Amino acid sequence: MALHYLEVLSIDEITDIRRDELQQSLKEIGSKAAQLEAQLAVLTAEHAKLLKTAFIYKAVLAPWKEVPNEILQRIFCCTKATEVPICAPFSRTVAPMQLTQVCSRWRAVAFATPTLWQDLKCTIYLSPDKYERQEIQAFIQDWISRAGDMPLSIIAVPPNLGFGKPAPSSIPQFNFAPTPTLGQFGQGIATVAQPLDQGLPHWVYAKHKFNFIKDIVIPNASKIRDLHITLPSYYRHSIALLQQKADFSVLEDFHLDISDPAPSYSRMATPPAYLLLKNAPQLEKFKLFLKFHGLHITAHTQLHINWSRMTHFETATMPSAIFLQILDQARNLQYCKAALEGQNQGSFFGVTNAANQNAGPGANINLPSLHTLDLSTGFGSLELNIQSAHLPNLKILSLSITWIGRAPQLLQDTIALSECRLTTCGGQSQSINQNTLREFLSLPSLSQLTHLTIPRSTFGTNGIMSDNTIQAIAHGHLVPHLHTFHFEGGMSSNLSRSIINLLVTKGFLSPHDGSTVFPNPKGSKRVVPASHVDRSEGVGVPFRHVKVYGLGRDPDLEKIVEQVGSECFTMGMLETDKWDLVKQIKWEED
Amino acid sequence: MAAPATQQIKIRCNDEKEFTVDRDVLERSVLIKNMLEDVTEQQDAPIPLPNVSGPVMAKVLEYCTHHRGEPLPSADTEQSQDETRKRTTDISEWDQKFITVDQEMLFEIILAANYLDIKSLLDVGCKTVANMIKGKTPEEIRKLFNIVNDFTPEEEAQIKKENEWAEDR
Repeated sequence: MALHYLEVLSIDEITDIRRDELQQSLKEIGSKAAQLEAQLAVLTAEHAKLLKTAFIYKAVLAPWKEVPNEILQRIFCCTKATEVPICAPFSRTVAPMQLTQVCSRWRAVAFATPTLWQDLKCTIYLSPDKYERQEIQAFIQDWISRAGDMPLSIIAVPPNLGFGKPAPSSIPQFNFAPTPTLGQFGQGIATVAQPLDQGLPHWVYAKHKFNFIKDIVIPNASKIRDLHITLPSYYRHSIALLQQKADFSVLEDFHLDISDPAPSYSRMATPPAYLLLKNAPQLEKFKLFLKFHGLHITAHTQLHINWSRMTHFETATMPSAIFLQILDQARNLQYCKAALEGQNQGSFFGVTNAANQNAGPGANINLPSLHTLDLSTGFGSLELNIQSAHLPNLKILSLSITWIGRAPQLLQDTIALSECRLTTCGGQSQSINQNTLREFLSLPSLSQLTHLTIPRSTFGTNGIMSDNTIQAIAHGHLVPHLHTFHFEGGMSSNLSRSIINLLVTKGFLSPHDGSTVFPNPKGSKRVVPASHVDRSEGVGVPFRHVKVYGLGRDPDLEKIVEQVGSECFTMGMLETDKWDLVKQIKWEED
Repeated sequence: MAAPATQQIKIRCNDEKEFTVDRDVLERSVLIKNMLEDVTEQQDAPIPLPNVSGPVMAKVLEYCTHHRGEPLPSADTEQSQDETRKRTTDISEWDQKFITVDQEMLFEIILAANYLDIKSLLDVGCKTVANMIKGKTPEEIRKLFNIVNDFTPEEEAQIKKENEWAEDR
């Protein structure tokens, strides 16, 4: 019998066989993959086609299509931004321009809804080259035209035309007209030394060919109900155009702030603006700030306005003599905020003249409707003189603590304030004698006070209010009807733990419904430097609304944010309904 | 003394669905209120509402029942809102939950509120849609509401020109 023997393949032979098998497999798989890819491409195309068809079907059957135009208009009106919509440059995510770019029907409906177009704000901060094109005027005018007969609300804020660039050397130098005297006020006719031309200095207009006042405001003046203008000082020329050409027959609210945009323009010594809004019979609210070279130049302005209709008036650094004349005519004022020039302007808040010297300062002021008087800005305000003013309906008073120190018997007994806001001003560390402060808080005119705001000392480590004064309030010895108490401490530790505990005990601070005391469970003496407390009524009753300030300065903030979630904070303040979460945080021992 | 029994009114929707509802609930609808005031005699026949389906009417009645007894907004209120331009888009918590429905139902409710003249419900619906629109680009709005971009070439050209003044074009 022959012996069988095993034939052994060499390594090379084995490798060849395996290579062939692999190549065959690869070929087959590649072929299958190509087939599948082709199928996938067909399916993908089909899918896209079906999606398109589905979209068309959905679009045809879309529920909104049944909605008539009147309801679409109603919906569009609800999309109006809370703030005035920005006209130029506009955002494609904000109505009304957003609505005009969806489809033909929406565009037509939006254009036919005047309410959408009655408000506009121009923050024209596109590149300066843009201003050489007059299309912006056409764009804004188209916007306004769509408002039809609706009254307009226009806000203009400074364009940064050539911002930061040095002014041309050919800028004409003008001399200031003399400050009007008291006798001239309200009587003189404005004369402007230089021709107005386009309402702007020649070089400005030549460069930009667009003047918001001349090209937009004046042509539409008779439709403007609210006009808020904040513009660079070289626009003062244009303001003069307002008086010459504009008929503001429905204007109710006018804010005018003419400021210097940059030091580079400080060479433009132009004549002062004269503001004679003779044709604004409906004007009720007026805010006036004119600044030049860092100084307010309201003193250089003649005002000819129907003050008798005015309910709101706000100004800064107006000579108090002029201010007094205004108050004398504005008997229907309900709100007044003013910072007066105190020096060398001949008068105080109230007139002291030979005829009524004995009556004391302020005796001439008779504002029966005045509800809010804000003299908190400082700059020489002479709040002292409200002593004798007749302000029977005054409820809210803001004033600098400085004047409390000078005149604790500041208010007449006939006044019954509900709210008092004390302020510091001028960025200086201010303090007040606590006896004086307590004397002020004991005045009969503050006996019905429900809201009190006490400021923080700007640089000091201690607050304006001492522990003893806080205790007096907590025990109800001062301002017994107080239910909203907003006080701020110094920049660093100020309120002692015992005072905090007292306030908690008395119900001013209630950690159970959110406390002004920041929860520092480590027991550190450092506590929240600021607080806002709202008590429903009387001492001992838990507060309803509490805000916690000062978290930004707390080194434990990171841990709290981590535990509670950053969404629980608004403007650095913890939302009070998250208080329970804070309390649950487990703190490590020091 | 027992309170007087509330009158019950029958209504019939376009799908023959019928509801029997307290009169004060139904009178949230100015349309039905006027109809009832015009009819002096007691009628047993249901009031036909050919423009509202049963499911939508059920939602509308849920709203009217919740808000029964509240004062109806007067024409003056509407006008003064328009005048002061303080038409906010705030919606109360209950109304928000109530109006959390699919898009089809939302627009059906709006149409029904418009037909039945229920101003407050119409407002809730419109504000809800407005809130859906706010903050979205035109493209996102199209996608959300299944809207076809059907601008003519002229309109496209005009939009392109306008967008030169857009900060986010």
